[in-house]
Amino acid sequence: MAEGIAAPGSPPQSQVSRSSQDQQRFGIAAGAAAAGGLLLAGLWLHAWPRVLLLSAAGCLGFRAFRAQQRGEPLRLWAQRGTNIESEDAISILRTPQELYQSWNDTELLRQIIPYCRGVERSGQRMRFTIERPVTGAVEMESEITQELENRLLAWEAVPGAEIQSAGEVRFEPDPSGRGSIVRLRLATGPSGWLRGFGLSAKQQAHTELRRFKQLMEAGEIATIQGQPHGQRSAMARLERLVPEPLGSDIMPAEYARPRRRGPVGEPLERERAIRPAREAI
Amino acid sequence: MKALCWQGKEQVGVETVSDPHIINPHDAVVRITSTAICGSDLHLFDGYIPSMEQGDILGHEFMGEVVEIGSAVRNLAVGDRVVVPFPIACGHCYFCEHELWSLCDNTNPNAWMAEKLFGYSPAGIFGYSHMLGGYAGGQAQYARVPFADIGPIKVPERLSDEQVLFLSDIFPTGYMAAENCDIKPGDTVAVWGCGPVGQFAIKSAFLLGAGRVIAIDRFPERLRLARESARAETINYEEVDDVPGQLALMTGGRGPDACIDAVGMEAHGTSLLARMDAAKQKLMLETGRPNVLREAIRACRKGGVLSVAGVYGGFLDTIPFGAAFNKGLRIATGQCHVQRYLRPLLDRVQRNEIDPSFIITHRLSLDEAPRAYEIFRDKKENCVKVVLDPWAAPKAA
Ligand SMILES: NC(=O)c1ccc[n+]([C@@H]2O[C@H](COP(=O)([O-])OP(=O)(O)OC[C@H]3O[C@@H](n4cnc5c(N)ncnc54)[C@H](O)[C@@H]3O)[C@@H](O)[C@H]2O)c1
Ligand SMILES: [Zn+2]
Ligand SMILES: [Zn+2]
Repeated sequence: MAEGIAAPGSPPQSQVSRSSQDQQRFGIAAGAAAAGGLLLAGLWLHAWPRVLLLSAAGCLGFRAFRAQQRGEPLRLWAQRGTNIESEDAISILRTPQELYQSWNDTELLRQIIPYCRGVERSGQRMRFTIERPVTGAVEMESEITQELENRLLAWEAVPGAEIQSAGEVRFEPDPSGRGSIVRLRLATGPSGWLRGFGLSAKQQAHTELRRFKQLMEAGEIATIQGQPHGQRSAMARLERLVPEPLGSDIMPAEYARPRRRGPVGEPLERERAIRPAREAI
Repeated sequence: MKALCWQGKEQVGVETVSDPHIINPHDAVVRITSTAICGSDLHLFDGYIPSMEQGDILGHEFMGEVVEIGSAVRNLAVGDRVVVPFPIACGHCYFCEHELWSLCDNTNPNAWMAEKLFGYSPAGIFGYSHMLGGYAGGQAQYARVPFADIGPIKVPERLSDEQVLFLSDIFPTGYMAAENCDIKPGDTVAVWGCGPVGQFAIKSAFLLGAGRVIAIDRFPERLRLARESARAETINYEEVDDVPGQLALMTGGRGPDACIDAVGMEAHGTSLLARMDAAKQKLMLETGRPNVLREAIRACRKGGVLSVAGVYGGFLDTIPFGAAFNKGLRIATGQCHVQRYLRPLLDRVQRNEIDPSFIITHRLSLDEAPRAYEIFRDKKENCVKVVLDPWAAPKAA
């Protein structure tokens, strides 16, 4: 595999620093100074530019602080070959069986993966088309490496694939006896972040799980794309050129899934009465 | 269509925008016949709720006629007359199933923003910042209503708009504030704020069996309304040294059994702490002025209930939590779970137990909304509640 991506769960490769102590200190000091500058500029500006600059100052300051604490050189982004890995979990009021089956539905996957335009499956191979606004379309091909019915699915990019990623999803019955807990682990190499998703593995996992839950419980993905609004500020119009990475950038207009009706496990057709609020009042 | 848009701090304006349409299968589009301005809108107007954007359509108290429904909406038909609750709820998640509608898991497309601030995201709300969904609001001629099969309630033709409009928010909000007080027959309840929410909290406290309600504000017309329409006793906080002290006198040294904060993050005050809050809020060091919260905690009897209906958004300083803890107070908070109260409160209106229109002081056209925000914010012209007609021609000045 091009960048030596490991499946989630394996320890990240350690990066031994070779830079000299002085260089290291200089890097950290420069980083801290830059963070200070961003902070001042941020305080001076307003609204979103302020939020952006202050967050950048925060990130940079934090990285500089951490590098100083750990005696490592300051790095602005993960190095080649570093796994970016994340795990997230969500509870969904549906049985593990229902969730497992839905996860195997390519149309559903298309809807929950950010910027995904198409999913094809043949045998154990899956092919995803991801179309991001700036970098354009990329194809990702992966292979299912493990399949335990109603419990687990794991996949990994095929050898030599342009974008390295691996993932695993588990469906567990919720200990409360109702619904399930879904755990999603994703790992991508740096190119996965830059070219593939445009989101960190963490954001990616979180977004996919939330959309999955919305489709399975509510029958649609909540969105505000396409609703009316008044005159936006120039800044907001600029921002809007790039669709929101974390909002619902797809519109599942015609595609409504049957909602869960009644307690988990009961037939879907069961009429759900909108609970007539407490009679007590 | 015409819609009232947020254009920046203390600036709103009526703009011509595109008409809403069905986006998701559980949507409906409603032609709005009546819409109101809420105390919560004032927090947006004054710029204290983060993540507002220029061009956002305001408004979350509205009703009207269904003109279009999505493919998955079964229980509504074009032509139905409905009141729309302000929290948007999916009806099928853990929280909806437990009737905690304003905490729905599935209706905030920007949940990640709220998660950053609150840990977990509450439901989306109409016209109430991007952090709470970014949904276009109802101070407009039409609105798109997501999850229309869950929220909106059909209302009978024989009731007027004014009698049922407030089911969308302030009547249930006041009711929930009182219900949270766990009132036993004869209890004394103190209510800070005699705005619309406070007025409904007072009425509801009596409906739920309170023996006495003591209402606190500084505007004579609002205090009079509390006395005359709901037989509350009143305190004008500008005429007493210290509200908790006055409440102690009035309750024989015991304190009210429950205290309701119907004021929220923009409380007015003249104490040293209140002035510090105001300064810190200007410097963006604090996001609220919690002096009502402080007073209520101090005034409440031991083992009593603090019920917070007033809205808070971020971080508060110098809250006497030691007093709350050592007196063993129970605290109930949150955006109202409106859907829970729609049916029972509509029944009360139908049985003539209450006519919610008693609080309306101003009936204006949508074009007059910018002026309406100002008089409502500054409590000019004895303004208590403004109802807007989105279709009326503006009155000639
Ligand atoms: N929880 C919910 O679901 C919900 C729903 C609607 C409104 N609200 C909130 O309820 C609050 C009140 O709304 P409203 O529509 O009645 O607004 P409003 O502005 O008309 O009323 C607020 C009242 O509080 C009074 N007040 C200010 N400072 C005070 C003080 N120190 N002591 C006593 N009274 C004081 C004001 O004079 C005013 O009469 C707002 O914060 C609003 O956001 C909450
Ligand atoms: Zn309101
Ligand atoms: Zn829900």
